[in-house]
Amino acid sequence: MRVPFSWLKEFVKVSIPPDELAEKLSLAGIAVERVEHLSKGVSGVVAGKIQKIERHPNADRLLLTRVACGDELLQVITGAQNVHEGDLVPVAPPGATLAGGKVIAAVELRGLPSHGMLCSAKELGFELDLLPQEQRDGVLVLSPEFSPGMDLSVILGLSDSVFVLEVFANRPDLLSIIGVAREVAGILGERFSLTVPEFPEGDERIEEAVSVEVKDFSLCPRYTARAFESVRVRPSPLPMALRLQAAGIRPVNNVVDTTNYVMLEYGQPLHAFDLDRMKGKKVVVRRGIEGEEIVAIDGATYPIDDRTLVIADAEVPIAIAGVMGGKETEISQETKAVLLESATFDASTVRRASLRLGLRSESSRRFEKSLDPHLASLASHRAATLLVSGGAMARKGIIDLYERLPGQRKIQLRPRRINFLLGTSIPHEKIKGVLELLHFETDGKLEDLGWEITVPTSRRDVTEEIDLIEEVARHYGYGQIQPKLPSGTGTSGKLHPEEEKLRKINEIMERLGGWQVVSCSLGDPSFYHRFLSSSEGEIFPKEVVPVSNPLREDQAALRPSLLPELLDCVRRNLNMKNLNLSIYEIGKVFSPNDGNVRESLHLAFALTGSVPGGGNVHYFHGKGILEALFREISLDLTLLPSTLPFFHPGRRATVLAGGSRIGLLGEIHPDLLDDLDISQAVVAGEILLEPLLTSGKFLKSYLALPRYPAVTRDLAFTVDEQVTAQELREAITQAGKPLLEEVICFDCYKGPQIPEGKKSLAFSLTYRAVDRTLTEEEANRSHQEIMTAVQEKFQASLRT
Amino acid sequence: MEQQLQELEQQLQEIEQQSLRGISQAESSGDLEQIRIKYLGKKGEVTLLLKEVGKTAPSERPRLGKLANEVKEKISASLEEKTKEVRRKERSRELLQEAVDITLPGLSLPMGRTHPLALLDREIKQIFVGLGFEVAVGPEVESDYYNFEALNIPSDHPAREMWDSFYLGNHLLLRTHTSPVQIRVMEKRTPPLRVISSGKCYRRDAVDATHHIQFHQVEGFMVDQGVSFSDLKGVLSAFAREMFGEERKVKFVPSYFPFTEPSAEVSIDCFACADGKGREAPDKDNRSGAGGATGRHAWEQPPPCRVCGGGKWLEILGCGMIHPFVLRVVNYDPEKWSGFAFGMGLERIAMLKHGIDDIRLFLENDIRFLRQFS
Repeated sequence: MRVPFSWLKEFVKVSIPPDELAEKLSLAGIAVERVEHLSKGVSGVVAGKIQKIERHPNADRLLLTRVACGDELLQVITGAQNVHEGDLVPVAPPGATLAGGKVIAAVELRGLPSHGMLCSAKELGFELDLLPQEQRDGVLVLSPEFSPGMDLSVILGLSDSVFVLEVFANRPDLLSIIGVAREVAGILGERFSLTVPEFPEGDERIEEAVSVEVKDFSLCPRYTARAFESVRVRPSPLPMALRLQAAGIRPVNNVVDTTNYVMLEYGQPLHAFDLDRMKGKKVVVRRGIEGEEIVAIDGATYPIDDRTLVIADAEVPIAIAGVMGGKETEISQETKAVLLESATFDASTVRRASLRLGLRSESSRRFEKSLDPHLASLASHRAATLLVSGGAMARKGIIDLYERLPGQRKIQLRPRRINFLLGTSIPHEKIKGVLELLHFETDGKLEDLGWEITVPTSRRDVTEEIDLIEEVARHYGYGQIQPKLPSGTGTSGKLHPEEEKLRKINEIMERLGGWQVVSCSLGDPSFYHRFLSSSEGEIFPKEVVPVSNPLREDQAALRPSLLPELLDCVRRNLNMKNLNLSIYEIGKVFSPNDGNVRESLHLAFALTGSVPGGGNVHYFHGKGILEALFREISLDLTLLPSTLPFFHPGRRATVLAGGSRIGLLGEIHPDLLDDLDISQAVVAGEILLEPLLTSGKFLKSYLALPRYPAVTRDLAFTVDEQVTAQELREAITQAGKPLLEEVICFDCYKGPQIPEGKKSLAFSLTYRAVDRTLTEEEANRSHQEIMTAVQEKFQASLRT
Repeated sequence: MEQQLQELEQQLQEIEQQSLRGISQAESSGDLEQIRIKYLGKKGEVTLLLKEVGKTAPSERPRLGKLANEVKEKISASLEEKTKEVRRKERSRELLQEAVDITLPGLSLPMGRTHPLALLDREIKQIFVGLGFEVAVGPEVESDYYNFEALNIPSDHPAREMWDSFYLGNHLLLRTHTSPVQIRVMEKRTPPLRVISSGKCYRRDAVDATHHIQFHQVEGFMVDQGVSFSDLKGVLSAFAREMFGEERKVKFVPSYFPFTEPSAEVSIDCFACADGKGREAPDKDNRSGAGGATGRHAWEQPPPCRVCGGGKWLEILGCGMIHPFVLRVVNYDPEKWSGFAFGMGLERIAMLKHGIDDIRLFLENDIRFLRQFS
């Protein structure tokens, strides 16, 4: 909301500078985003009446004028040809300053003195494209309401300031000059005055020109109409046009401008129809009918349905109630008779229609916040005074339809409650004073138990005691409330148990060299599709969760996995020549779950580039990270072959823990890397965190160090290529009970000494007894059992 | 016989003298090895002499044997000592050969880092945990009820504009703020409560330097008997000073949120302005008025402050007394319990703290950006 300072001052006396007022407004909760100072540096320019025009005796293209500026009669020479005797024009006498800083001095032109200059709109600093065409060129000819000698920089708003307000959703009353003026009066302790002069009406009644019917008062609690004849549509007088501009609204013509002017002043949107173009001279406020449509004044065609409230004539909709008028009945140069609508429409109905049609207007912005029905008649009256003073003839009377107007709300307020909730001790008299300045009436009896407060109808947001407490608080001043640290029952601060575990996992990942990243949970569904699983049991879902109302296609789905965004992060970094990366993310992923959305916490990592000590990352670096993570929280890691298509077909695995699939690991498939424009190998893994958080050991207990020495033996088998190290390890562990303490696979070899189709796996085995020193014989016996078992089970041969 | 014995003794003495001289003159471990072989090797002079001793009369053998062994040990000891000495000398020569250019870069060792938003999240939580708050968690996919209705934002309420949302169908949406956690916690527990919660939130907004569809919020609330606006000011002022410096001024300005009343916006005075007037610090090198690096003359006004843009105050969070509607929703009697709630954007705080001018940097995860925080 843009509030010109000069407009505000029509309703309340302000004797402090605009910046100071802005500060006070902000501290009272009227958020002033900024104050714009419109001054273009113009000063000393006055209105002058041209009394006489003669040709300059020494120059064909110059005119010699005598201009009356109040008491003075000046001789001014001008090159402009659009002036006539009797015109009112802006005159810059010697000493005046024009826009851009030019100071006027008396000069001699072709032998004759010129005491000043007649000014064009441009020289006064107007934005030309905001003015009607005929005011853009030559000397600006003023309308007759100016009198000679008036200082134009004030009248034309050339030195005005505009408050740009951020109006909160609960205060539609502040979308008006008078609403802001009421607050200003409250803040400054001044009187707010709103006087509307009477205007002459014609003899013929409005009912003879038009009839109005409201079908459903729940959708339209109040509808008023006035009718005007002998209307001459033309540009608005300059002061009105300039005010509208300062408030951010483009002037159109005197009728439309009047409705906008009153909307800004009162906060009540109005609409003017060309009465002669309304079929049947009838207004019906009704629901739309499926299949109807309307061409609005913006030229676009909008479909109407039965959820839309329309203003119709005898046949078709002529306006979308509260949102926008129709082209057919728009005010035009030919308009002679006007129907002025000032109505109250149901807030939700307007809001939904405006959302559905994608049409936001100054009008819908106000209606959707719920307006005071009392405003409708006041605003209608105000607009009528303006139209009549502009030469229109008002028909007698007003059509004013409503079932019942809301009365003034009464609220119980306990002053003790105010001081209790604010932590203050504001005296009762002071509370009463604050409320009364804001036009809340107290019932006079200042009893501690409670006062009955009468709420002005303009304050529809004040519905219960807490709203009054807020009024008192913001006008008393938040700065006056003393801060203190809470006493009362102590509570002990602590982290969430899950968060403590997650921080431990963060720490492990970072000790392993991981850089934490945070990425967006919304992305491109077509990219996400490459990571969905086709088979049961994988951790990624089969489908993504789509967003119903995305703004862009690449934000149209919730991520099913952390990998897509991690790979995108790898790609971006490689583009920036960050070539060696170890990144990880902990975050939520989403999957459809029977009409609902399941969210689960995942951990994912990606590695690329070279590793410390040389060489490029490969599968086993990824596996090393998982092993270290699992070891740190005492979980066993088991891997199974995987078929996930986005991994390298020979280097991919499913991660198992406690018998269920909890993750995946592999080198990203080179085809996918090609599509992402990534030209170096990437290893990545992702696991569910839930099983880690529930089964992992995050608080470890002490295990006594072994007291007796161990016996270590190495063992190498030649087996079929298909046999995995994990299978052998399990067989060894099984056969080595109870003395076998640890098995580590330390070599996998294929080469000249090994037959085709076979490989050699070498293990280091540690035997130990907890209660005695192990003898060589005992260790040998266990070792022998292991060899036999493995040889039998895998047709393995011992390699020596 | 006697003569033979004397010869033997003499030979031993000579060997001793010769060998010790040789040892002392030796310069390399090779020389020393040769000396060892010459005297103590299998066919060395001492070894041979010892064999000779074995052939002497039994009565003389012990004395001669002792003598010979003494010589042998002397040589051995001397060899050993000299070897050590030579070895040290040799090593110090070798070490010099191993000299490196100590200014070459070190090996790059893996060291991970925490994301700046996560660091800030921990910092904020630590402050509130110190003030007696416990951390709670909540889902990112919320129902319309928890995200809006329970927070006094019914459907069609114009205030919904403040939170343009991504809908997922079935009355579900991505939470637009962390405030639903308030409701979830209060539904399950009874006061006194001091709770803080943080996480991702989403708004259907065009992405630019200061807006993103995803951001993080930290939300907190306190409910107890007799909690007042005065407590709200106390707790949040303490937080602001802990976070931005003891000397900060903290300002509370009325604002509007449907779920709190009275509501406020909290600002701190700009910590980056040199003069408290919203201007950059004057350029120190520019005192001569000769232009300097910025090309600015001394008599010109410095440009507006890069952090507050000349506004002097920085908004850091929104807050207010919990609206009685919200207390009634969770079946708390507003006559018995009162409380306050607050919320802040992590990105905004991080941008203020570190002078970051583009919110998108947090999600781009450029290593060169992440490297700057620890």
